[in-house]
Amino acid sequence: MFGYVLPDKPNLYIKDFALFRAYYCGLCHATKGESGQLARLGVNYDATFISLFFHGLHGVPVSVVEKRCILNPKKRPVIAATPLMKSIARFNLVLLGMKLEDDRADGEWHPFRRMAFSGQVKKARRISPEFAVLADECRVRQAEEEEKGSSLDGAAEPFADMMRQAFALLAGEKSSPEVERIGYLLGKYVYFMDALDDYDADVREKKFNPFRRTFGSESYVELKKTHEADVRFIAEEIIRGIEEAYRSVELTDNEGIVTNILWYGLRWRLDTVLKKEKGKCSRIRL
Amino acid sequence: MFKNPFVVLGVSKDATQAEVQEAYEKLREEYRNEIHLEGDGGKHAAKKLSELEEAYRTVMEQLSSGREIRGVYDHVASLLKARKYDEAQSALDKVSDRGAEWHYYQSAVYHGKGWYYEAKAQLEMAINMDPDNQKYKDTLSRMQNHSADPTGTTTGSTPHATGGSTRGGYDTYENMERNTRRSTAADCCTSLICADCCCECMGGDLIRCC
Repeated sequence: MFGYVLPDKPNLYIKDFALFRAYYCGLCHATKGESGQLARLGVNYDATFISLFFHGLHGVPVSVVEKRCILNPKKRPVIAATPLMKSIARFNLVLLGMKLEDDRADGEWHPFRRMAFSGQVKKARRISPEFAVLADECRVRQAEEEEKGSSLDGAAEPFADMMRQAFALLAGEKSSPEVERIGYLLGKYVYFMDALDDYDADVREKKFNPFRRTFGSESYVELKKTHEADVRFIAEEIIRGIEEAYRSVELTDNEGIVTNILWYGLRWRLDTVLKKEKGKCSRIRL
Repeated sequence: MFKNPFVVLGVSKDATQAEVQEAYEKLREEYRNEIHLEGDGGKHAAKKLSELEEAYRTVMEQLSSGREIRGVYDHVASLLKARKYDEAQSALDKVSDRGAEWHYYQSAVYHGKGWYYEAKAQLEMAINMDPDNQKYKDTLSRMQNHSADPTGTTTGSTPHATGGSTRGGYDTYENMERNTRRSTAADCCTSLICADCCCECMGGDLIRCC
């Protein structure tokens, strides 16, 4: 469920790109500090967005330090770990743990991934039990929804609602209905994008897929042929809803990069998912 | 024999409760006077009177239930304005007579909650049940154009701001896309001219006329 909330790189200012990378590296270093080297593999762009958004919302004063990375010997500017950054790193690990549990329940056994994360996930859950509670509740509700065979929107509800509550927790006293709504709709967006991306795999392995339940197509190509307009409608309504809520949210910092992600990045990613391109390959909008 | 209660009462179909009451009392007085007549006249009046009672009851029932439903929908609309979607949903759930308008409000509740696919489905149901209603069709087309508040219930009327607002140094998506397109068309010519200049520097020629 990761890697759907990214900036639209061709339309990103260099300064914002530098900021994005500094936060990404910062989150990675914070994860190392919290949970050790192997857990760093779980750092992703979605968590980076959450970090950017909440540091901007709270106006947390951040300091930049130069650090080396295990993957790259060159020193890079990195945002020094703040308590908020650490908290988001743990949230990200709890989410990863949730995904691993799902995979295990589906009979997918990844010894390496388990080895890398299980201890760290446990630790993160112990330090931040509030996130652990959210994640567990989400898994239970998700299983119920899949059992019940509810609608497209119903199937997305547990994950979206979990994201809403997580945003409320992370926003603390700065929380507002709009911040929660951004969390809710982002959760929904990520859930749907993931379901679209995994469509063929889910059909092959006979796993639950909300789009398959609703539209019944046998393959992603067929789904696009018959229901692309519906899919596009839903996703664009979600993005529009996010824009609407974002309008009344005031950010102290990081406004540029967050705006780029919410205004352009989500649409760009939707296009790549619908065209089934690789997410990381940048496409210049012409 | 079943008679149209509105005809029996001699009022129009969209009469108010007070008008119905007045017509009923007037006719009842009339028939009561006639009922004491001898022979057929009295019998006729008695029959008329029972018809009148029946019609009055039916019409009053219809009127009050109509008002009740109206009240529910007004209540739902006010809940939507206050963004209390769960309460609006439970108010709607209590309505058993689910016509086109019910689906319209259900669509508004779903849209407010962020259940966009369901919202569209409910609105299409409303249009199916009442194909002549222009309000539903306008709402659907607004929804399909991704206007901020298609049902106009959640925020009153906030026009979707399209032009002129930038944030964090970025133009809105619509403006960005338009500008990118425009500049690519212009860029095409500029780059051709540039290529021509380069060619000429090197002794060749790309565009013959300049």
